[in-house]
Amino acid sequence: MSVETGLYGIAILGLLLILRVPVALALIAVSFGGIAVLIGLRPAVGIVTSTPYSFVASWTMSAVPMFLLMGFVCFHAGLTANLFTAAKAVLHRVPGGLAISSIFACTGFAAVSGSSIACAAAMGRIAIPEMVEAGYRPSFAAGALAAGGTIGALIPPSILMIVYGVFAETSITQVFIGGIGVGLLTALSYCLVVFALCWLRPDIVPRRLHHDAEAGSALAALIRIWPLGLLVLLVFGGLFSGYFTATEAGAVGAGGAVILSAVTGRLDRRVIRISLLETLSTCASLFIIGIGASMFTRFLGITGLSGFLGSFVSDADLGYGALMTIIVVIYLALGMFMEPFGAMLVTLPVILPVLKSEGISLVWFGVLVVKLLEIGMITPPVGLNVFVIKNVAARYVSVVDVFKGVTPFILADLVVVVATITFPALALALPQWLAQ
Amino acid sequence: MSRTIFLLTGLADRLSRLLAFVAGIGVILMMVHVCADVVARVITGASLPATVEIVSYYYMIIVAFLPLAWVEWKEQMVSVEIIEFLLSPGLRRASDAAVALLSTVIYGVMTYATWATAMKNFHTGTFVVALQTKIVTWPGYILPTLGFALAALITAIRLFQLASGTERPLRTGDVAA
Amino acid sequence: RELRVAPGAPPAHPSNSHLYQKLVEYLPEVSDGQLTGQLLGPEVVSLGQMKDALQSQLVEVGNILPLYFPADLPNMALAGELALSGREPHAMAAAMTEYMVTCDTCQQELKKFGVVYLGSGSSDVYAILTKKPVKTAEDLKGLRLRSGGAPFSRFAEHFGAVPANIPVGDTFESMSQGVIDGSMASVGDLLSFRLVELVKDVTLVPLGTYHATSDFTVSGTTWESLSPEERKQLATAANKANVDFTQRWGYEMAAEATKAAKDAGITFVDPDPAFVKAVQDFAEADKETAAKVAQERFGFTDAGDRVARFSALVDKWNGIFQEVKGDPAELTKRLDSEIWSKVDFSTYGT
Ligand code: NA
Ligand code: NA
Repeated sequence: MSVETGLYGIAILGLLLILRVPVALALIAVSFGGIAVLIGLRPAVGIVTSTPYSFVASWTMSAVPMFLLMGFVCFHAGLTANLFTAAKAVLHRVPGGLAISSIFACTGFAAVSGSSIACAAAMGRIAIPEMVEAGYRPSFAAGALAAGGTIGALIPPSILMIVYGVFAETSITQVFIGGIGVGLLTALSYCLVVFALCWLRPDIVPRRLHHDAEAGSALAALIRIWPLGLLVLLVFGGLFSGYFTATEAGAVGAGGAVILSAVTGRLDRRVIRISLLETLSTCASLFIIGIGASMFTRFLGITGLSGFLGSFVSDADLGYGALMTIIVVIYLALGMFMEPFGAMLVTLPVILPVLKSEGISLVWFGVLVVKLLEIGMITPPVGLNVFVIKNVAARYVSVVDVFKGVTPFILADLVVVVATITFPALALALPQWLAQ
Repeated sequence: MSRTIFLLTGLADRLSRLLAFVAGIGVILMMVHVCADVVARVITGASLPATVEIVSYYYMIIVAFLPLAWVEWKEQMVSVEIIEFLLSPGLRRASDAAVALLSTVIYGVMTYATWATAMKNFHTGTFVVALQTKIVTWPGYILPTLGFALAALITAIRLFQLASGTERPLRTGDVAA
Repeated sequence: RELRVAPGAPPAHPSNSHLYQKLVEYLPEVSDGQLTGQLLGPEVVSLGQMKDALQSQLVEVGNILPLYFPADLPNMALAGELALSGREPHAMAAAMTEYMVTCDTCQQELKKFGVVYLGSGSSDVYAILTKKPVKTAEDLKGLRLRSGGAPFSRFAEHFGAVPANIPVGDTFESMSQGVIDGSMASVGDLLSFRLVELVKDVTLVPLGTYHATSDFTVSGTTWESLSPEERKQLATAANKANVDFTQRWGYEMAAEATKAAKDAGITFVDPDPAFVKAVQDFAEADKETAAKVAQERFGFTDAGDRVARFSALVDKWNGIFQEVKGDPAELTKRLDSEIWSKVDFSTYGT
């Protein structure tokens, strides 16, 4: 078992990606080869045997195709077309108004979606074409939505936070509430990015919309989006009244979108066909990457990565600042290649004991770790949110474009991380206040 | 030889469409089934039997693996195109061929590995028990094999076309074409 | 010789902390340092992947939950159907172990699966964890409760509750949404799955145990490569760790969870005696149902005899548990003298 093999694996992965091998196949090839070298050919075949099925055969994962379908049906049936007419009418004086409203829409959607991918996917299909049409640079529009999606895992419900709470044996409810603060802060920081770019680079983010809507049309536009309003009411209302879980919310949303499109006469064969095809192509290309990322996690796990990382954080002389710096660097580095659940399973066994001995709040750390893992969803070379956005906006952007587009948002994320570490109250004030 | 490839290409085209069509039905069934489960629970207090199992072991597998070949056919696998601008048409073609070869090998290995498991599960008659209902799960294990095998066929055809200079024009960026 | 071993569970779970970490500790002790273990966490092999991991040699000793593979391990599934008769975790673990080691068809199943069995463990006696108090059988009516297996579903249906089929990791979300009213589970789940934040009442009716586990499942290829002495050393270390595990999962964790629950203001409801009696009667009657289920589902023609054999072993080990007053060290010795010392390691599992 050697960490060197893991490092070679990472290097070869980078090389394969540069040589234009599809992300999923590069991950699978390196994991297979790595395990064959470390243990043998039979175990390597064993990994290929079990990972595809076990990764996909998952109830919680079923929210992803369902939320995708909801987004695609809403878009193709034109349920959302008037949404942005309304947004344009209302926000035409706000600089970068459409980007701001997309970020708010992601924040709102975060409250019904447990995962960041589902959030990015559903909102991306709806918002990006509108933004591009309004004069936004496509890479920026795609980047805004890929980053906006990460709010989905910060604001409850959040599958990542539940897994963290179970693993760290700490209050899930408190981590959830802590996530609200950091989630909103993230949204705010993204809005600042929009304002800043709007001011500095009007070629990327237009200061004014091309076509100013007349004030009178705002109300008319708002009235015309009633089917969408009803859908939002159905999903939010049902979730908060406890009729269904966040996993089931996707199917209810998709079902609602289909019914509302049908009763308003907008559901035809073309809409059904194109929505299904886009759902399938996004799911298949996303799940195969997920399978590859999961195999890569298994490979890195076998190399003894966990113990290797532990040797960095277990030094007793580390102060708070140094410890946190190391932890941030570890998560940012792992986030480049690994999916968030795997990165959490590999790191927590060695990091949690150190935090406990330092007396650091595990609730606070839960919020921080989810934030860090979510940054990994948009960093190159393996960024699942970027890939899902690339899929829903293939007409406008390449993967590299989206990675370029998320760069300013990653910088904003880093500011949020530093703020959360410097002022733990950002994550802790709300849960502590509610606990009293 | 080229006639064989022509026939194979037609077959791959039709099969990948067929699998994608079946997967589309899977998506619709998943939506209807989960919604029906929620409605049944709200109205009668009891869920439909085995919703979790049928969603996980059937619909999800269908949705993830059956459209894979179609995605390969449309050349929509996600890759990171950083050196695109450096490539001359000749180099690009060589690079495409190398990728197609590697893809064929990987899909081939995955086809073999998942096939072996599918056969084992078929012979054991693998099932799970949901509450008290026996849910047979072994048929689902064949779907990854089906998806990988067809994907391998498609990348192999692409490899041949690139090698023989008969590739069809690239059609990227248009998802629903 | 370093063995790759995998619990399929995170460090806080007793099957990691008290089963596999202990195995890794005991192996060099019993083998003069000849055998050691390298622990692979759930990020490498999860419980659902354990079968493939063992058959492909990725893992050489792994934790198998037969609930995931009922078609492969019908005898273990049959013993699992008898969950409701569990009263004393140590006795259940020992009965399960003796049943599996001494029955021919069990050994054939394991051989077909390509693995060798080295003992079981058991949870504490399950309880009803709910958001509102359950004192009488009447209170159970209409409650939606998560069920972790067929026997618990039969229990719920018998008393007019609605069993819900939910992945264990989704229990928190489902309960916090109100999609379920509670869970039939180990008291330890209050901590393991953070239900302590949602549950208001715990009712300790004797609901039975989760004992159909194969704690240490050795890949057949690995077993072949070990000498009879090494096999015996592995079995000795496994036997010690099995008892540690049940002591932790079946007793200590339940005690810790109970304390945490009381600190969190959770009420421990005193069940009505008539309710307790009804539960006990149902558990007794359910043995017959279990036999019938095993016959239909797995085609056992002698299912009744098997149930009787398992029940007799439960009685035997309940007696031994009383004799040694539940002392884990003594139990380890008795498991060795009653079961493992009678095993011929040159032929066992081959
Ligand atoms: Na969320
Ligand atoms: Na990344």
